[in-house]
Amino acid sequence: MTLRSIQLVKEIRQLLLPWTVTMLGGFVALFPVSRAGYSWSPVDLLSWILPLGCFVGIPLLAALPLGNEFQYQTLLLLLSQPIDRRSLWRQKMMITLAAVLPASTLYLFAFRRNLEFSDDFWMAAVWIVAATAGSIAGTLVARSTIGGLALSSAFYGLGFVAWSRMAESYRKNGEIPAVFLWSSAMVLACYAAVLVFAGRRMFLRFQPADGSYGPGYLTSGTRFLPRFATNWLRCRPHGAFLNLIRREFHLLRTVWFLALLSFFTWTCLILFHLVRPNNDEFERAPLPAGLAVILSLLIAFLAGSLSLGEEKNWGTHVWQLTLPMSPSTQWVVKLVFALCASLLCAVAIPLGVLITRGWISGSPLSYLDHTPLWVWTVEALVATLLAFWCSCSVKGTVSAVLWSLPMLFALGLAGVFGEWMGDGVIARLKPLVDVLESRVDPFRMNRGVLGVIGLTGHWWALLLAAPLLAAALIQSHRMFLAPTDHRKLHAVRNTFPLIAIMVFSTFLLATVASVAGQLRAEQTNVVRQAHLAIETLEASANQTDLPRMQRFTADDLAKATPLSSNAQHWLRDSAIVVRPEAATRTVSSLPAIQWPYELAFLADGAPGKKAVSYSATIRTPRGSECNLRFWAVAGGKNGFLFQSCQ
Amino acid sequence: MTEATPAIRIENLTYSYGRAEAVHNLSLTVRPGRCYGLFGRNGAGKTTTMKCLLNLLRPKSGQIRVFGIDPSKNEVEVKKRLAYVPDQVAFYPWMSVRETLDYFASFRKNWNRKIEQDLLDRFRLDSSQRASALSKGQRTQLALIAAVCPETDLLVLDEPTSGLDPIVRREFIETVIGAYQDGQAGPRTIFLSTHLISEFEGLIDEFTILDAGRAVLTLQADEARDRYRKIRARFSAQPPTLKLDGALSIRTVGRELEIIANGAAPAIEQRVRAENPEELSVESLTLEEIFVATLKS
Repeated sequence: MTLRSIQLVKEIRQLLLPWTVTMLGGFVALFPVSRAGYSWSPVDLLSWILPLGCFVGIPLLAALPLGNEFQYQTLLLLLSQPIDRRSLWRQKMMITLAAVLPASTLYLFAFRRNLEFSDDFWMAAVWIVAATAGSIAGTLVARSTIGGLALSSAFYGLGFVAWSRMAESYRKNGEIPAVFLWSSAMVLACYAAVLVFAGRRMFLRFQPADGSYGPGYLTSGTRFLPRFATNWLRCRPHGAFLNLIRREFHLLRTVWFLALLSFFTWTCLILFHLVRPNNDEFERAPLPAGLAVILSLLIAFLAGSLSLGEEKNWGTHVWQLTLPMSPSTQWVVKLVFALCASLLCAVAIPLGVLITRGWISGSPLSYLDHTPLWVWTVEALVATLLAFWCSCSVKGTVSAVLWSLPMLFALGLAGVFGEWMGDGVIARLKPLVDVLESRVDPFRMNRGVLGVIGLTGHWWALLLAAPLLAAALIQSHRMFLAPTDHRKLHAVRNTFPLIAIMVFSTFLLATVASVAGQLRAEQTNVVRQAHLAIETLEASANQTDLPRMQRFTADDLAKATPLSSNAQHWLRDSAIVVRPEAATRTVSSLPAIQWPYELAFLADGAPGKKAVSYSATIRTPRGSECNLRFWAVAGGKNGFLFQSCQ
Repeated sequence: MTEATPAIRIENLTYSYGRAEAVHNLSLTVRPGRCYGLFGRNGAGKTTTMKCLLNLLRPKSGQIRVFGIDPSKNEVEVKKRLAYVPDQVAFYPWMSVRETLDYFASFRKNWNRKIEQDLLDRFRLDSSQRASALSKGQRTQLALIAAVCPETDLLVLDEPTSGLDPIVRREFIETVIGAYQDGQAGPRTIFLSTHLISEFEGLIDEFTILDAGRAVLTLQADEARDRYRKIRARFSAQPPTLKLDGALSIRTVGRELEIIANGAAPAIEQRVRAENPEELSVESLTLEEIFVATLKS
C-alpha cells in the first residue's frame, strides 16, 4: 500500500458510514412512496428522505473531511506533516468530490422521479454544488462539522427562499423563464467557485492559534446578547443547578442560531406568499416550505445530540460526572433541556409564525397544513429523544445525528418485521383461531374484542411507543453514566434491546389486532347469515300478509337459508322476534353509530327480491340479546344493517 | 466511620474492556492522611482503577469503599469528599478562567478563595482569559486549582504533572500538595498516579506498582527504600560471576558490578565482600529505580 493510498483509506474510513447512510437514503428515495407533499404525517415520513438527504446529507458529506480533523483535533498533526498544504487541500477536495458526486447524482435522479422535475433539474444540481461549497467554507469558518452545516443551512434557508420568491414572481403560464434559471445558475456557480477559492485560501493560511483550536464560532463570546442576558448566562459560585442550566444554554448555541434562522425562513415564506392559507398554494412551491420543515427537523435532532455530543468531543463529560452532583440529575437536566429546546425551536417557532399570520388574517389555524399540532410536537420530541439516545451511545454530535437516521430506519424495519411475523403466526395458527371463534358468542359484545377493535390510531401508537420509550430512557441513562465504550460494534449492540422491543411490541400488537379482527369478522358473518335468513322469511311473508310481528326459531332460519355450523350453534334455542318496518333510508339519513358497541354495514336483501326493512331481537338461551335493525334502500336490493348487542 | 476507616479500600477489583482485562484482582488500602502512589506503565490500569473509584466504571467484580462508603450506592456522598483531576483536562471553551472556577465552586460547600487567588498568582493565570485559549499546561494548572480549592478529604490525581513545565511542576508539588496536606480541616489524603515518580519521591508514603492490570508490588515508601538496595562493587579485574539469591538484577559494566537487592541486601553484601572488591557501596533505591527494577525483573 502506497503512502497516498494509506491517507486515502483513512479518509474513506471516516466517510464510509455517513456516505453509506446518505446513499441508502438516495436509493430509498428513488422509489416514490408518497406524492402527498411534505407533511409531518407518519405515513409521509419516508418522503422526507429525499430532501433530507439532499439538503442535509450531501452538505454533511462535504463538511466531514475537514470537520473530522477539527472534531478529533488532528488538524494540527496533519498540518505538521511534511506535505504541502496545497496537496492536502487537493486531497480533501478529491475525497469530498468522490463522496458528494455519486450521492448528488443519485438524489438528482430521485428528485426527477419523485417530483417530475424537467426544467428545474439542472437548477437543483447547481443548488447542490453551491451548498457543497458553502458547507466546506462554513466548516473552516465554524471550525466544526455541525457549525459548517449550520452556516450552510443559513445559506439554504434564506437564499433558497429568496430565490423561490423571485422564481415565483417571474413564473409565466406555470413555467419559470429559462433566462431566469440560467442566470441564477450562473450566479450560484460563481458563488460556489468563490466559496471554494475562499475555503482554499482559509485552509492555506489556517493558524491553530488557541489551545484547542476547537469549535470556532460555537465558543465565541456572548457579546451579541444584551448585558442582562450575558450576566445571567455567566456561571456563579453558588447555585449548581442553575449553572447546569446555564451550561446547557451555551452548549445548544447552534440550536439557537438555527432557531433564529428558522424564524426568518418561516417569516420570509409567509411574506413572499410561498405558504398560503389552507395550503392551497403549498404544492406550487413545495421545496422552500419543505426546506424550512427540514430545518426544524435538523433543530430537533441537534437539540437532542448537541449537548452531550459536544461534551464528549471536548472530554468534559467524564469530568462532570465526578462532581458532587448526582449523575442522574445531570442526565435529567440534559434530557429535559433538550426536549424543551426542541419544543421551543422546532415546534413553537414555526407554528408560532404560522399561527400569528393566521391570527392576523382572522383565522389562526388557516396557515397550518392538515396535520394536527400534536403530530408536529410528537415527531419533534421523538427526533430529539432518538438523537439524545444516540448521543449517549456514540461519541460526538455528528456521529449521534448520523446514527439517528439508520436507527430510525432500523426501528421502522423492526416494526414492519414484527407485524409481518404477527400476521404470519396467526395465519399458521388458524385452527386455534377457529376454536376461539367457535367459543366467542357473536350475540354478546366481548369486552376484550371491543377493547382492541375500539382502539384508535393514537392508542396503538401509544401502546407501541410506551415500552420502547421506557427502554430507551433506561438505556440512555445507563449509557450516560458509563461513557466509556464508543466502538461502533458497541453502538450497534446498544440498538439490539430497542430493536427487540420494537419487534416484540409490534408482533404482540399485530397478533392481538389480527385475532380481534378475525373474531369480529366471524361475529359479523354470523349476524349476516341471521339477517339473510330473516330477510328471506320477511320477503316471503310480505307477499301474502300485512306487516306484523313474527317469532322465529333457529330451525326456521336454517330452513330459509343455509346456515354455517357456527351460526347454527349460536342460534340454537334462541328466540327471534322480528318486526317489519316501513321506513327506508339513504346514506345521509342514517343515524350515527356508537363505535365499537354498535356495528353498521351494507347488507343484501333476500336473493332476487327487494330488500325489506325490519327490526329484530335475538335472545339466546345464554342470556345474550342482540338487536338488529335493517333499513332497506328505497326500491333497492340491499340496505344498511345496524347491530347492537349486550 | 471511625478513625481507622481507610480513605480508600479496594478489594479484588477486576475490570475489563470487552475481552481485554484492564485491572485484575487488585487490592489496596489507603489510610487517611497519606499520599498514595499508583505507578505503572502506560495501559497498566491506573486510570481504569481511578475511574472505578469514582464510579465512572462499574467493576466486573470486587469491592470499592471510599471512607467506608460504596461509590456505586452513595455516589454523591463519595464525590462530596473528593476532588479529581483527570489525565486529559478539558474545560468548556466559552468559559473564562474565573467562570470555570465559579462553575466548579458552585458544586462545593466549601471553597477556599484565598488559596484560589494564591494559586492563580503563582501560576500566573489571567482569570479573564478564556479556557479554550489556555495551553495544555495552563489547563492542568486550572484543573489543579479547581481540585485543591474545595479542600476535600481526598484528592484523586491522574497524572497531575503531565504537561507542566519543570518550574510549575516543582511549584505544584511543593506548594499545591503541601498546601493541601497542611490544611486545617483534618488529615487529607492524596491518591495519585504518575509516570514521573522521581518528582513525587519525597511525598509518597505508600505505593502500588501495577503491571498489565495486576498489582506487582505494594509497599510503604520507607520500607521500600530499606528493602531495595543497590550494591556497587568495583573489582581490580573482570568481576566474578556470582549466583546471588534475592538479587533482582545483576549488571556488569566494565570492572563494576551493580546488584539490585530485594530484601537480601546484607547477605548479598557479605557475599560480594567475600570476593574482595576494590570498592563497595550500598545505597537505597529511589522509588523510580524500584519501579524500573520491579517491572524489568
